[in-house]
Amino acid sequence: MALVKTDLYDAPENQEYLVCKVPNISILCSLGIYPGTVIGKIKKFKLGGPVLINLATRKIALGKDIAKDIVVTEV
Amino acid sequence: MSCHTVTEDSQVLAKENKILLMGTPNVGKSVFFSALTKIHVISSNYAGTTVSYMEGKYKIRDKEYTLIDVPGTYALSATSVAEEVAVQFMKSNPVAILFVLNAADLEGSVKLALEVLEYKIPVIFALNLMDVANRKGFKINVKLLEKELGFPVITTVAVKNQGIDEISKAFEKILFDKPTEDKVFDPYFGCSGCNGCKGCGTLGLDAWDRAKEIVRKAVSNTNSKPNFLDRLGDALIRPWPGIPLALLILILSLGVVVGGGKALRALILLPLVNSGIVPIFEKIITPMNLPPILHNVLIGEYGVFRISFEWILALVAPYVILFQVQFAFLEDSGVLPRIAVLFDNLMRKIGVQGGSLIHIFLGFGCAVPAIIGTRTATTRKERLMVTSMVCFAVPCISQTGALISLLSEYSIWLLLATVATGAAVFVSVATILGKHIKGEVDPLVIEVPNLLMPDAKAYFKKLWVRIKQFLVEAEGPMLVAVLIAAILAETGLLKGLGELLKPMVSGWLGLPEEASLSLILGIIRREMSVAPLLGLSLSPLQMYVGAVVSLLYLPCLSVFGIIAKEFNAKTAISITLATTATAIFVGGIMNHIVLFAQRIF
Repeated sequence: MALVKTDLYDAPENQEYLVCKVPNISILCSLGIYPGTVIGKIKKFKLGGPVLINLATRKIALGKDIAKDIVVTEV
Repeated sequence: MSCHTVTEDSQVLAKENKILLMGTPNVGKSVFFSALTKIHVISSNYAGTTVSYMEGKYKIRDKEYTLIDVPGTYALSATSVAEEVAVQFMKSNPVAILFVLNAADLEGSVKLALEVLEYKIPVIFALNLMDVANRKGFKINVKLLEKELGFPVITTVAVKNQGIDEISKAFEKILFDKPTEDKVFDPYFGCSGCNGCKGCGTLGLDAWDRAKEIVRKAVSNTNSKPNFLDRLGDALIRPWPGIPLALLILILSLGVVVGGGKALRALILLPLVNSGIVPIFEKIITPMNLPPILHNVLIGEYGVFRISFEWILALVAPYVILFQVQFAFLEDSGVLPRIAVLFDNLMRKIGVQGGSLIHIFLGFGCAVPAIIGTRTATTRKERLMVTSMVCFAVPCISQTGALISLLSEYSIWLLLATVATGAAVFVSVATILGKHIKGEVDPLVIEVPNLLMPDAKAYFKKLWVRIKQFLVEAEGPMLVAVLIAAILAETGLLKGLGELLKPMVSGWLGLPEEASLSLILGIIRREMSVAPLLGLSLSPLQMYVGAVVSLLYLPCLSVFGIIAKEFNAKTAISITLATTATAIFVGGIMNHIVLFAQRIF
């Protein structure tokens, strides 16, 4: 299966992804979002809203402009 | 802005025998602080309740320690004001640390714990939120966790006071007893042999890997079914039914405050003041046969002993009490971060982000905690924008109470018109500042906490602290304001002042001369800019204009003080001038538009 890279914002919902690239925002690393982490995208909120993700036992919402800059591939 | 925290903290930093209370945001550190020091601090179910630190005395075996409630952070890399504060405390030679782990989300907690352990300070771990972990079906091997972390781990449910005594006992052991051979701690035992990989300390990646490994070994998931709260928590974060539910919650909250407040005022507090308290003071003061002026200042129409009770107890207190009743519930339950997520798209359009909503909601209580709360914002621009928005168009609850009394007695439509005007100004301020302040606003990054049923004891304690705080903090400035009002009214100065401000107050705003008292007293407290209007028989248009001016008018003295402290005096003066100008400008424009419309139709 070819690895398709896409940004987290446009990636389909209800699926798990491997994080490939994150923007240089330190809070992401502090929360555990860095290349190599597996995250589950729960949903995207309409009208420029955030992306809600599952990471281990926590739920985190990421604003559109950050989610656009996070590159993921399907696992 | 950070230099303020540094200078202000230097004294505390220099203290000896400090024990730091640390952990990730929203794990209940403040609850431990209250339990161990018997000082009550406010805790809520969202990240960032403690943005400054709190200190209290903590006795362990007759020796006194200073326990410091350090703001919760996800890392020790000093990227926000809160993290800077935490790092400073770590470097200030504390004797020990009480680290609170989140049993319901161990990974992030353990990762921060590993970063803390690198400072080689003795630690006691409290594994808190055990009730939530059990609800979610997590089984945690505490012995294994102790071995991996190298220090004692105590399971706790802090809001129910479970495990608190064990913590003090554990501290006695590590602070007074000699360390036993097998407990000698080496913070690098898991990392030996690495040739300074770039992960350690700098990026924290190594810490993440180790944290994941530890959690994988120590936690097993029994996959319990989500209970009602879990399902409600999930529902509240989906647009359907989340947005209707959120709106319903907000409307219900408003209904409780407005309706309940009016009932409380009419049925209990107003009779209490008018036929209970004031007559007592009349009976005491009248027989003294004081000179008429003094008598009037004390108990006349604007007398201190009449007006202060009438305004504090009957006008403002009912709304403050009911606001706190429902807001404390919203805070503890974890609904607020969900609202922040749901409305992030709208907030993003006006130039801020959803997380700012939590500060704005706080502002409806009082602007002071709201402005301090913006310390969690990651950029200065965001702090400044949210602070300004709160100062311009978010009335504090005392003022809201007064506005409700003024407007809804006449018609709910006047109230709605004022709300709409305020909302328009709110959006305009955000848009204009977004364009003109340099810098950026970081997008939303927020952890959505588990939905919790607030613990009754903690809830009522918090409620009581807040109401007491209002009564204590409001009383002083109120009395000063009322005294000024009484003196101005009795000495005839009010008339002169009215004459002086007449062109603006009467000509431009279309209000009676006496309304100039509002503008004077509003400087001291926000509700004071409304209260004097209540006694005047105003037309509906005058009520509306008066309400708009008071809503947009300058923040009170305490708000001025906190802006000067958190930013600088220049910012405080700019915001004050801008709000005052906007208030007079918008009030007058609306007055003339309506007058113009009336003439045509």
